[in-house]
Amino acid sequence: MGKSAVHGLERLNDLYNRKESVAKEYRKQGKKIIGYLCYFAPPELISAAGMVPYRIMGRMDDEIIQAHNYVEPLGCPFIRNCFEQDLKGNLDFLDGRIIPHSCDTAQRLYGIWKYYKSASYNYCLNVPHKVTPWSRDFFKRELHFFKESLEKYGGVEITDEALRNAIRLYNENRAMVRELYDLRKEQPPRLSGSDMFKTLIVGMAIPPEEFNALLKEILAEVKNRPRGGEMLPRILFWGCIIDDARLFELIEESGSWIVSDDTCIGTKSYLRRIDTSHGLMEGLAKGYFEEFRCPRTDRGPDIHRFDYVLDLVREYDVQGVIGYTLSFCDPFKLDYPDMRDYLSENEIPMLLIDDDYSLSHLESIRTRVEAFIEILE
Amino acid sequence: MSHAANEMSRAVRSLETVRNSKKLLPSFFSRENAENRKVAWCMQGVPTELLEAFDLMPEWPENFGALCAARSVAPRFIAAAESEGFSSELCSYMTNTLGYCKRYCDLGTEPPESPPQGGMVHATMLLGSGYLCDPRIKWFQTIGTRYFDIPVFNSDPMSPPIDRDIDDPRMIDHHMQHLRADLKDQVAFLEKHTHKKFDVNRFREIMSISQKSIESWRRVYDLRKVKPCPMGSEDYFSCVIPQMFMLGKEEALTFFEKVYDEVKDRVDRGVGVLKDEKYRLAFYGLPPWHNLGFFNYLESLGAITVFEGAYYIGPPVDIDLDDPLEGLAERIWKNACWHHRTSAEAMPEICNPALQQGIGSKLLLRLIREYDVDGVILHRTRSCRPWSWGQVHYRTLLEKEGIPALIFESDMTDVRMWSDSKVKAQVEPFMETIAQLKYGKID
Amino acid sequence: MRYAAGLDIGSKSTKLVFLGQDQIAGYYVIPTGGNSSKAGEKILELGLSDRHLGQDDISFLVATGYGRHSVESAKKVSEISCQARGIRSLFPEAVVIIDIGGQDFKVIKLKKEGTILSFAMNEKCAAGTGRYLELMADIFDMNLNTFAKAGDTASDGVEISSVCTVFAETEVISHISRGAEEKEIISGIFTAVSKRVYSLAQRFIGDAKSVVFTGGVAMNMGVAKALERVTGCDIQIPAEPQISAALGAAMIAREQMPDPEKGD
Repeated sequence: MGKSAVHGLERLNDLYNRKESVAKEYRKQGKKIIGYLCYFAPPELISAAGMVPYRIMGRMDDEIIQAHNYVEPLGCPFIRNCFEQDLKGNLDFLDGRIIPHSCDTAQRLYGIWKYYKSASYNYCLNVPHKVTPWSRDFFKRELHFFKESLEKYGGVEITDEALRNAIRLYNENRAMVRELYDLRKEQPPRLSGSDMFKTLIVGMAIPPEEFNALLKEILAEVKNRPRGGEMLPRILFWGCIIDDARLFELIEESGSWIVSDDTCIGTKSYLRRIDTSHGLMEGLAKGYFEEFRCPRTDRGPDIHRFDYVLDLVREYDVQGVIGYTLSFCDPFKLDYPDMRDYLSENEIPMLLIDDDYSLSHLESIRTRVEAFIEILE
Repeated sequence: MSHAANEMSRAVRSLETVRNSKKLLPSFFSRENAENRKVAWCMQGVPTELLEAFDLMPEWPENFGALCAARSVAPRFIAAAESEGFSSELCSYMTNTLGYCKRYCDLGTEPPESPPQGGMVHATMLLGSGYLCDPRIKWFQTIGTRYFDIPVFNSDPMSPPIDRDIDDPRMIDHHMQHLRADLKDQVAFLEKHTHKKFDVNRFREIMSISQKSIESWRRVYDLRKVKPCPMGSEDYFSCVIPQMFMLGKEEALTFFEKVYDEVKDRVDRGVGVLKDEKYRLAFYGLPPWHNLGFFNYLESLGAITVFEGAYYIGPPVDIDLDDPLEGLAERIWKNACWHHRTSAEAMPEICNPALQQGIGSKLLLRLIREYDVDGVILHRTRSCRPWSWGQVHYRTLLEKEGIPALIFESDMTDVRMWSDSKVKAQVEPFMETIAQLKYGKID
Repeated sequence: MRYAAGLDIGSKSTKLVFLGQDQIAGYYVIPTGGNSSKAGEKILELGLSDRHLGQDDISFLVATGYGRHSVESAKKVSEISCQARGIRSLFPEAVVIIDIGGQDFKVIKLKKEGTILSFAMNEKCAAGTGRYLELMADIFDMNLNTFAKAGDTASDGVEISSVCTVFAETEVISHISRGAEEKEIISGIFTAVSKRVYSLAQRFIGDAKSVVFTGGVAMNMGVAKALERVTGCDIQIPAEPQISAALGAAMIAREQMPDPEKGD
């Protein structure tokens, strides 16, 4: 593989292989670590409370065994896997667990998870399915209740200043990630998609200050790299949560560059900027709900709700889209046929990989990906 | 084996009122002339009282799914949806409808393979609801994008998570504000697309009938506590039809009153569904609509089902009908609070603008005692996660109480997943377990 | 002269095609057994010795199929691309290809000029694959050849509604015990396979009037006829459906050969 770990991104790879290590360090120092399952819960609020946010992730290699004593072997395999991690004790370093009502499985599991293994702080943040003036107000008020509960648990007050500061830090993260994305517009890009995803995954596991430092290093290194490399087909990755870089590595090993994405860990989160000019909570509600384009939010029966994906395709000079859906994921699986056909109308081929969060069919995935890239060549 | 050869495919109803459903509920069963009325495709969570107030004729794709399943047509529509790229794991009511729409669009007319009563009357609008599960907000969105260019409205009643303090006035206000706004938005949409003004007085009358229907129907629940049990699931699942689709109509009220009278009469005469009632069971999850004879099969083993988890409604709530729309919002919230207090930790959203709920875990354990239940059968419908999720949890709770519980799997629409022999192979040993526990021997 | 060679290491069988000047110079089929790499080596040895050739007589080798990554010296190309090339050379107008193999089935849609537009695969379950047919043939205690001829090619047969192979087996057994005609049951099995495949293929077929059917299962006339009925399309089958992907691989190999060697 001609794209081995770039010298200097060693720290990234090390952190990627020991994701919980930083949070565990902070815990030793007496900080509270608050896990959250999905991006509807703004980590800014957690940071502003003086606690360390940690996005809960699963382990694709782990089979789900214990969890099926408590829940059905149906529904999102990623969320079930996360529950399995906790039952195995791998999430014991978390003091808190926030599960936003992002989807059915999340909402249903909240009660059952809490029943069988409660964290010392549990919170279910409600999220409307539609964007309307009253649902915006509802979400904003939800954020106020959420803030209150964090304050109660932490025995602290989340001051405006602390929140403003936290938002500023996260906005800095976002700006630097956007810079890295801009670099990927080059042909060929100087940063592989797999390294970009590893960066994003690590970013979910470490506090914003640490991520800032890491991003500065990575930016400096990538900017110093010489131009020129293999000219390969350019891919945009669309899909459900994926917290394991192996799939990206497989896609790029098969002879392509992943130059952009439409995922919650990528562009959905980082291309925006939290705008506090109309208020702090107003800014969070706008960025985390109103403008957050997850398929679970109803945007109406308009094919142009996918225009932003076409925009990304043009902006990053993408030749093909690879989609990734998790078993039982209704929101994504129901968007897929429309998305695929719309892209096809615009002459962009799309390949779908359906997975039960295990990559157990790695070889047949490889065949599909290779065949797809051959089409793009 | 063809579907008609299935032993369990047809149910034999016990109550005469239920056997006369088609005659007693003509506006549902013999779908009325749609010429002068606008047709809306609707789903559970759309309050039928509003439909009635706007004189809309509803079609129910979920019910269509059950009908297609019963007539063995569903696999064809589901296959059409799969060919579009809709995953086979998706809700089969939905894939059945999507496949139907695809076929309709391909042919330019109703697909000939539609069930004998015909396909769904063509819609002028789609009324969805975010209540209960994610597919419901995507379902009509997809139809509106891919198949029919007609207006779509999805309501979004927000429900309090299980550990919220629902007595906190701020929490009540938080949810009520949203419920109100959502209902008003729906009324505005209906006014726009029916070109009719919302008639508050008419709606008040309809809500009043609806309240009476709920009370009538609810009274029947208690009658089933009696031994021998006067009514089983094969009748219950017919009775939920007016509850789900016809609240606010006089027909429904009359029907429920008749059901109550008939069941009360049986109780007075000490008559049960079974001459020899050996076992009392509870049934959880969606029924196998295409094989409701399953309950007759249980009866052949001496077992009667005395209450069901699906569609179970709480005690009737008092609402203020001066402002009937506010009254509807109140009904939604108060019903939700009742569910919240029954420990709905494994349930989907509990704020339902219509009337269909389930049983929280605390209530389940209480009802087991009140109805003197020997065992619980839970139906895991593979493509319906809202109704399937939580069954493992309930089984754990039941077994802790010493109540045997069986989870068996099939699907509510996709008949390809049903197998008589597979079901029997699970039910028989389960009944033997119960027999041992109850009588110390296997019959 | 030197040859272009295409090697298709499938999960059940391994195929090798030698391509001369635009013609198949020879082809071989062996069972893969448990070891892809050994199967690749074995078939090359077999082919070369049969033609009295040495390794050097192969100018370029392309490997495809499930076991392609085990062949170090070959260029690896997906079986989708190879199948498309192979079939297109045999059927210059082909736009839809259905490939039913031992463990999976694929559908490939080509543009008018022959390049691939899109494709889909099903390898998650046995229904619709050669494996399904094997299991069913076992129930009748027949080998695959006999089984293939035992249906009524003009009839849809009995209805087998289960999508799951295991349930379908149960259904077949109950048809047998009910006393249904063997011919009708077997026709029903072929129809069921076709329906599973059609469910994936429908979107790709669209308005096309004909489909090329290849892969090991294409040797089964009963399935081919059922596919014709189910799709409503004219079904075309290569003379040797098993080797069409290997042929495509060899053609791609030929393109990689230096010009003088092509002997054009």
